[in-house]
Amino acid sequence: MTEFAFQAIPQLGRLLRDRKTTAVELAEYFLDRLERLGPNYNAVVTVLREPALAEARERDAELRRGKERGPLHGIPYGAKDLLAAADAPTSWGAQPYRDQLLQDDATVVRRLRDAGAVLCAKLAMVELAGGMGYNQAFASFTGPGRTPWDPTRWSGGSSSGSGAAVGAGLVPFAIGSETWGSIQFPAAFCGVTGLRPTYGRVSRHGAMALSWTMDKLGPLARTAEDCGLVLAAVAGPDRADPSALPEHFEYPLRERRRRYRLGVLRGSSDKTQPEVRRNFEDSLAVLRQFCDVQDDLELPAYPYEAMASIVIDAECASAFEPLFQSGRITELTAPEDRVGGYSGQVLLAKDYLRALRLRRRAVAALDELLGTVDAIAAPTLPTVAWPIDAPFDKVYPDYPGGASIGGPANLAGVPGLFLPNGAGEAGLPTSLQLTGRALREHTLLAIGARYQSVTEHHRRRPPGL
Amino acid sequence: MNRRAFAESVALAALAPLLGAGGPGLRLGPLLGTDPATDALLAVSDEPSALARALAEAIRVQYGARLQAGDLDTITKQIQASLERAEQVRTLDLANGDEPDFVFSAAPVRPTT
Repeated sequence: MTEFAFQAIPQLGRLLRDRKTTAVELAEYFLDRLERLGPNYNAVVTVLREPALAEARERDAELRRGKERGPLHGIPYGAKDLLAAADAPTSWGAQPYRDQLLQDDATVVRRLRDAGAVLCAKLAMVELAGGMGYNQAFASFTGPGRTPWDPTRWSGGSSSGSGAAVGAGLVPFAIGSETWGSIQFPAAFCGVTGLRPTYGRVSRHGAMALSWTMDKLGPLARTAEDCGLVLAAVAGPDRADPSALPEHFEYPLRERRRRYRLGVLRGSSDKTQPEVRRNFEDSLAVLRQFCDVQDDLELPAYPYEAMASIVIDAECASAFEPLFQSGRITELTAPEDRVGGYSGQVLLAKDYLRALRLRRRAVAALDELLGTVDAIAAPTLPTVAWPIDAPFDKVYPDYPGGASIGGPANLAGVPGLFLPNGAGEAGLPTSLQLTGRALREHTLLAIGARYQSVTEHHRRRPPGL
Repeated sequence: MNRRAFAESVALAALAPLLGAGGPGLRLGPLLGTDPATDALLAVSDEPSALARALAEAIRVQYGARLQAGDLDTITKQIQASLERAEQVRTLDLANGDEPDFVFSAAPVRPTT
């Protein structure tokens, strides 16, 4: 059988259009991998074999009639299990919602179907997307997410299954979500490419709400190009989500080939593992081939982490108030999640509103900084994937990382692209992140695609796969 | 917030997201090693404030029957951490005209079909 597992979307699409395979053959191939290998990584909640094969048969029939929906036609994918899909339970990774059936598809699921993609699985995630303050990998009824690079290490969270499934070649791409780090960590720990779109770029309708003003949905895939193709299919306005922006997103965008301006925050690779620092410096050397690099940027002075925590705590407390009232919070898997959300229940309204008021000023200040460059580059994380059996506050204490743009970027809702950039400790993947201005995903993707056109890191495979 | 405290809080933000609700500062404490300034920034006060205790009492009144021994102490520390984060946000002044950033529309939202 043809090896499909680690091919990018355009390669798979070419095989389909050239009649060298069929959508049914692709679906069966990835369904088999999901069923056979998914349990090794605790990556899957529900395999959708029959609905996927039915969809694949329709896509094949369309191709025979000469109808092609676009670059995702017939391409299998997986969705983080916080996205509603009418064919399966939507568990939000949490025992109290394990059998939850939602009537309608999420807008993202519907748009991907319209684009011809075939939903093959609902993918595992940290319970309630980590909103209750988990401090360990074992924080989902599906078990701890394991990276395919070393199953004794964590796959990252909260989009654990989305990262692991793409990393292990169980699906060509997956949809994840990020409120603060939940695409970033799985992309880095699983050695895949991830895109956190601008807040509002992708409709949240049908996605579990953790924090209405900070939740974002985005792809994890093999390449920056794949991320662009998926984003083009799911982005755009949606009357069901008032925060969805009116702008459409096209990919590929015909952009003049030019040199880019890249910024680096002062101290951003401080207190990182030596391999992380080395790989970041190597990445900058590659990027200098087509970027001018300014390496002394400083973030405007705002208490980003405190603001983001307050916003998430308050919105999460309201979104999940029924869990507290019913007492079913005690059914969550991680013991710390059973008590971690109570403080949000008494967070003062004035503190929440103050964070939201100050946020507007912080967003403007960050936008001003981001406007001086095309992207800010940084190590995605200070270390490789964490051991699965250690509490988070005990892992790699010597490497807390340097100046980070992750918190400010999520608070401001600006896009981020995460790219594999080499091997670190024990051969585990390390990652490079690019952060840009709101709605400038195309620039990040262009830089990412240029980087991947002259490097091979995104082609590395986990051992044995 | 002074410049040093700000820089340190930014550095720690890389690891904060996983900790989500309920007290990043509280749980990051042991991760911070020996930098006293950083520890001071994020350490939760040993003795919860009167306000933290009062808010914890509100939790006890509403949910006490479901809590186990020791839970209320943990929750009180988390409330204290939350109040200390609010103090960080309060270090910058706001004008009366600084409005909160949220989405509101007078037009009703209708699902797409």
